[in-house]
Parts: sequence; C-alpha cells; structure tokens
Amino acid sequence: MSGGTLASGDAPIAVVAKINNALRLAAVDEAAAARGLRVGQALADARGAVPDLAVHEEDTGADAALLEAIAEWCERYTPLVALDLPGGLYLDITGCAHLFAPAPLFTPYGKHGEDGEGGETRLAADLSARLTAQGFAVRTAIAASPGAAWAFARYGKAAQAIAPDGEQQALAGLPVAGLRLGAGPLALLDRLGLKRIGQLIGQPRAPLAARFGSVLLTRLDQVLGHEDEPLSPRLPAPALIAERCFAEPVADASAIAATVRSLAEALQPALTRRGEGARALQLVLFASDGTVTRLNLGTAAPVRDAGLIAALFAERLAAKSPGETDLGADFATGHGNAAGFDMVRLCVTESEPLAETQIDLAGEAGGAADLTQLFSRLGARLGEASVTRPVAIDSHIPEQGVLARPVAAAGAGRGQDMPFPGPFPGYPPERPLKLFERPEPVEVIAEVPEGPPLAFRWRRVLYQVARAEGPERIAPEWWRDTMPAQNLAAQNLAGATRDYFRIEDRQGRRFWLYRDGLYGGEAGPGADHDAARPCWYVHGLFA
Amino acid sequence: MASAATAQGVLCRLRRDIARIEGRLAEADRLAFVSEDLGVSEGLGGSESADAERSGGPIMPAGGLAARFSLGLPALDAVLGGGLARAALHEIGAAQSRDEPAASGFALALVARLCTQKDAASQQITGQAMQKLPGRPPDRIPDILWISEAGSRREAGALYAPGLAALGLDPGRIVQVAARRPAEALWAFEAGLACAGLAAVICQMRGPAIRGPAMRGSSKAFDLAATRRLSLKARQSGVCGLLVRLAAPPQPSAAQTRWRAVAAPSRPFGGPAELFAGGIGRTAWRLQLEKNRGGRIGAFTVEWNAHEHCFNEPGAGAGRKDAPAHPRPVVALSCHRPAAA
Repeated sequence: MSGGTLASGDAPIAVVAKINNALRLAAVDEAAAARGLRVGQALADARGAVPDLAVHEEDTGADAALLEAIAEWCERYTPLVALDLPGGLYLDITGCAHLFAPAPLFTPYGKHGEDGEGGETRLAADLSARLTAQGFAVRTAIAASPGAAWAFARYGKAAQAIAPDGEQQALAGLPVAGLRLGAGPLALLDRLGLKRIGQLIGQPRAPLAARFGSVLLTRLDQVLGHEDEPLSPRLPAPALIAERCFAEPVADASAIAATVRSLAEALQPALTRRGEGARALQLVLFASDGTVTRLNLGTAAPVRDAGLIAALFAERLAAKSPGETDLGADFATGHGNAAGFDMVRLCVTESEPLAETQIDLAGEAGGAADLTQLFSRLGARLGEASVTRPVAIDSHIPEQGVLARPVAAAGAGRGQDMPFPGPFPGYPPERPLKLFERPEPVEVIAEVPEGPPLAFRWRRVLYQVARAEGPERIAPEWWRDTMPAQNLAAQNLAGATRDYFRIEDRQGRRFWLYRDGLYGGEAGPGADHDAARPCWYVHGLFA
Repeated sequence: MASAATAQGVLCRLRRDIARIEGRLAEADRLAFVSEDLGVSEGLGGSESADAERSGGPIMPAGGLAARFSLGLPALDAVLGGGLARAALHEIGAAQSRDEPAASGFALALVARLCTQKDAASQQITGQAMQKLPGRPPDRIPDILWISEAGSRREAGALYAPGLAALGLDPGRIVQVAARRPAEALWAFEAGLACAGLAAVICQMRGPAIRGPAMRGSSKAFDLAATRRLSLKARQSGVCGLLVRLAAPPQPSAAQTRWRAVAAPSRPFGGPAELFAGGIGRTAWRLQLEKNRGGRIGAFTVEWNAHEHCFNEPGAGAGRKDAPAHPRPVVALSCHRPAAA
C-alpha cells in the first residue's frame, strides 16, 4: 500500500525521504510507476526522467497514525488486529467468518471453495470494498498462517483465499521476497539462484542454516505453518463480546440504548455460566464514516443484570451528550455530518466472580446491593474518578497521607487498608478538616526565627491571632533530595522543611498555617531572593 | 401498675403513628419522648439519664431507629423537640467561605452522632458485637455520601480524611463525590437521598457569586420546589440529608431546620501543669437555628466532643471528661531532677 492518500491528478506523485544523506523516493503512485520510477531511486534521477513529478515529504508519524485509524476501524471484523508497519495489517479471523457467511449459517472452515462464497471470502471482499470506498488501495489475502498471508497479499494474485491443502503449492510459486527477509539474505539468495520459495522447500536444512543463520529457516517454517507466529494485537481481546450490525446507520439515542440493553441480555447467559459478573465494560460504536467511539464503564461491584448495565450506559451516554437525541452529530468527530453507527459492540473487559444472591421472601436483595448500584450510577454519570473513598497512605507529608481511590477500581475493598488515627481524648485535633489543594500564600507577622504568627493577612483580610500551637516540623523525605511537588502550579513548594502552626484568631476561626523553609538556613525555591526569607502559607482549616 | 404503663405505651405509639400519617410528627414525637422515658425524669438531675442521652438518645422503641436523634445537649434537644429529625432535609449555611469549615464540621458532627446511634441500634438488633476477623479491621461498607462541587472546593478546601478522623467520624464510611457543576451535585444529592442503604448524605454547594436576573446555578437549583422534592425523598427513604450552603442568599426552603454556623472561641484544655493553656482548645461553634418546622428557634454555643460523639455546653461538665484518658507524667527539667538516677 502506498503511503498517504493524495488528491488524484494527472501529474505523477512521489513521496521522498532522506536516506543516507540523499533524497530518494520512498513511494510512488501508479502513474509514476508507469513512467518508470522505482522506490529507492534518487530524486534527482527521478526528476530528470519525469520533469512534472509532484513531490511530497514523507511523514512517518502521520502514516502510522493513519494505519492506527484503519486498524481501529478493522476491529469491527475481529478484535485481534495487529499492525505491520509501514502499511499492513494482520487480522486474525479465526471463528469470525461465520458472521459474514450467507445462508446456511455455519460454513465450516475450509469448505468455502465450492462457489467461492465462503464466509472468509465475503469478509475480505467486504473489507476491501469499504476501504476502497474510503480511498485506499487494498490487497488482501487469507491464509492459514500470518507469514503465508503476508506473502500472498504482496506477491500473490489480488484477493486470494487459499485453501489450506493447496497452500504449499501456491506458496511455491511466490518469490523469496515473500519470506520477510532483510536485504542481505535476499541478495545472497539471488546470487545463489534461489528465486522462488518452492526451491527452498525441498532443500536440506543444515546447509541453509550454515549459510544464512536461523532466520531463513524460521521464516520458512512460519510461512509453511510449521512454526507458530503469535500476533500481538493492538488491544487485548476482551473476555466476552456481543455485537449487532445495522443494515442502515442508526443515530438515534434511544435506539442505541435499546440495542445496548439487548446486547447486555445476550451477555447475561455467558456470564451466568461462568459464575462471574462484569466489573469493566466497553461499548464500541462503529460509525459509517470510519470513526470508532469507545465508552468505558467501571462498576463498584460485579454486575450481571442486563437492566442495570443498560441503565449505567444510559447515564454515561447522557453525560457525554446531555440532552441530545441524535448521537451521530455529537460523535462524528469534526466531520459535521450526522454519520450514524452501523455496528454496536458490547465487551466485558474485566470480570470477577459473582455469587448468586438469595433474595428473601419479601423480595428485597439487601441494602449493600443498593449502595453498589448507587455508586456505579454516580460513577457512570460523573466519571469513575469522581467517586472515591479515602485510603490512608503511610507518609508523614500531609497532602500525601490520603489517597482517593475510585470506588469502581478493580480490587477495591478486598485489601486491608490502614486505619486512620482516631481522636485522642483530651487533646485538640491535630489535622484540619479541610485541606487546600494548593496552599494559599499569606503575609505574616511572626517572631523570628521560630515563633508563631501574631497576625496574618489572608485573602485581603487581616486576622489577629489569639492562640497558637506549634511548630510541628515536617521535613522532606530524607531519601529524596527535595519535597515532592504537588502539582505544576505549586512548584514553589518543593524542597523545604515546613513548620506547621495551629492558629486560632480572636473570633474563633482555626487555621493550619505553615512556614516554608527556615530563617537563615534552607529556603524553598520560591522564597524571596534576599537572604532566605521563607514564605508562609495556609494549608487547611479546622472545623 | 404495669398494665397501666403498657397501655400508656401502646396509646402513645398509636398516637405517634397517626401523627406520622397525618404529617404532624414533631408534636407527637415530643409526647412519645416523654412517655417512653419510663421511670426516668425529664429533668437531668441524675447522671444515668445524662449518660443515656449522651450515648444513644432516647430509649429505643422496639425494632427500629427513633425518628429523631438527640444531640446530647438538653437545651438544644428541647428546642428541636427531642432531637434532629432523621429522615429529613436540613440546611446549614455559612455566610462566608472562611466560616464554611464550621458549617461542614457541624454537619459532620451531626452525622457522627447519627452513626453512633445507628451502630448502637444495629448492635442491639443483632444482639452481639460485629464479628471481627482476628487481627483485621472489618471492611466497612460505606454509608455516608459527601458531595462537593468544584467552586466550593476551590474556596473552602477539600475534605481531608485525617481531619475527619480527628473529628470522630471514621473515614472508611465516607464516599466522596466530586462534582464539577452545581447541576451534577444536585443530581448526585437526589440519587443519594433515594437510596435507602445510606445513613446520611451531605452536599456542599456554593451560592451564586453575582446576584441578578440571570442567576443560574445553585440558587435556582435550591428553591422551594427543589428542596421540597429533596425532603420528600429523604422522608421516603429514611436517609438524613444535610445541605451545607456557602454564601447563599436567604431563600424560602422546605428544609426541616435551617442553621447558620460560625466558629466560636475555644476553651482551652486544662491538663497537667497547664501545658495547653495557650493553645487551641475544644472545637466550638456558635449556632443559630434560623428555621425550625414545628418548633422554636434560638442561638446556641456548643462544643463538640469528638471522642464521645456528643455536644457540650462550654463551661459545663468539667470533671472526668476533661482529664485525658491517658495522663502523661511530666518530666521535671533536668536542673530540678534529683541527683540519684
């Protein structure tokens, strides 16, 4: 496949790249190839041969992104799609072909040669038709191993589907370049006069191994199917999938919601058989203009109930496009037209064992189920990161002592968490009720060097201190060089020792102030330039 | 004598049920409180009644939680008619963002008191302490929802779990919901109030910054119709709803009670050798009950005892509560120590 889709015109087009300090052609289109230009030719020679050549710079990043987008789109056929840069894709369609077969519904693998209308052939035809409609030049081939498919796609006849018993015979006629070897071994093979794969099949293996190393033999075995070549798909294949294709693109939100519900019902028996419930689900919407939208959902507890899953996705869809009934216009990224979706797929990406719950005679399942439903609904509507539980972390630095763990995180609630220290009778609270994410700077009048504040100005209001306690010194972790910075805007807090004071003003408001750095000693990076004057901040407020 | 007492009890329970159906619960509750207090005087002379009030509120009617939970302070309870209504919506307002921690702290203290009562009730029902796996704290199912909106988090800070533990509430019971917009927070509040498994839902919202005809956001969201809907949901599900409003304009609202809280100067702890005399004392708030359905209003200054989960009056109750549970001996300065090791 040539890299990049460019506007067709009369002038031949070539893509150039800098190879070995010379501009050479990286790709040519059919018009240029017909005029005699070849990949690898120097640009100067090419310009001499074809003066009206249109030249474009190679952009490998854009090419890779385009290949990723095509791979994403090809997920509609199978979830196992692997990239073969710069311009190829592997699709593992084992077991997917029956979805494309005409009646009868089940076409056993290998029986498609009767009238050429097997499921795999139709799949390949559908794929090339759609991709050609989008403007790409496609060559497909179906074979029993990735290596053989690679060879047939590039060097075989167009749109070939090889029966497994005829594969070796068909392979024999292909050139050795179909073995995916480097330039060195290919040149050596050419010198030796071995031009076809068929000549290599019958050869004794030891001399080949001695001459070329193990690479040639590995590739030969992979092409013949003697050795397994596992594909590494782009995304992990989900455990359970249910999908539905529409004859006409659908954009109506209620239709999509009804489809999600019926897909969830289709998944329910499979989950029940495994004794599991879904913890993370993914809804993939394939638009007819080629874009793919994925919606992820996490739940607080394993769910199996189709109604609940449909309700959670309804919340997620409502949150994504509130108030819209036509999802096509919202999801069609930047194209502007209401494309509509022609395939909807619901996958279970994570599942956990779910025991059957007995319902009592009154028919109530129990309060805990209601709570997990509520948290799942809140997470679906507001985002999983918005619904959290506090978890104690073993750190003496205040803002790092608590982790907000999402309720929908897998594995939440099973581990044993540290308890928070409770109130000590007879002593005031040591930590404030409210903590600012970014401590706010204050101007303080305090006794130097280590005295508590006497008065301070915060948010343009002056406060007089009536009571003060402290200092509580919190030093940076000695195993790090500096105090870890909280966030980008608070870089000035990194690195210094903090002295915390609990302050009560005359009206009774209680603050948690700290001084960042020490007088005459280390000062934080945000301190003033003159003579290490540390800064004061209010970090929290007591109840 | 005994049969008369049981007949009286049955009659009062009937009256309370009828009042609940007719929606006149506050008045009937006061009657029920008096009559169910079998043998214990209403005035607080005896220490047992004081203890009973501080620990769990009125004596439980069989098979359920009382409709009101007492706050531990008799003056406050009397004004509220026995305690704060459990299945209702209450509003706590703070005029400025620097007073907001007092309002949130008061709301969380109320929830802590409610949860203590709920735990005591469920312990009574099950009849034994919760089974604990040896050496492991039980994995707590969270039953308190804290909803905050982005504007109030920016102005008054986010909830800090160690501070919550210092206030007396176990942070393991809380689920925090961080909403971006007031509409989302309102939706989460309604969803939480509709779920019967929760003990309490607290929603922290900020009033609009600009007053004007185009007032959008929380002010419009919390008008009379919305609060009426929320309190109806709370009553149906039995969840206590607390709305903490920051800088909100005065508005008619259908909440059961409306408070205004500011911080009050604290009374310092005593302690040995007056160690903490200059430091911060007990958490104290000045509360103003602005609206009370079926009751009086008033102003109170209360202190919160985080260890025993009860409200005190400042200046009262000196004695065993003041002494620290584990008194630490104070080591004399080295120059005063005797020479003998």
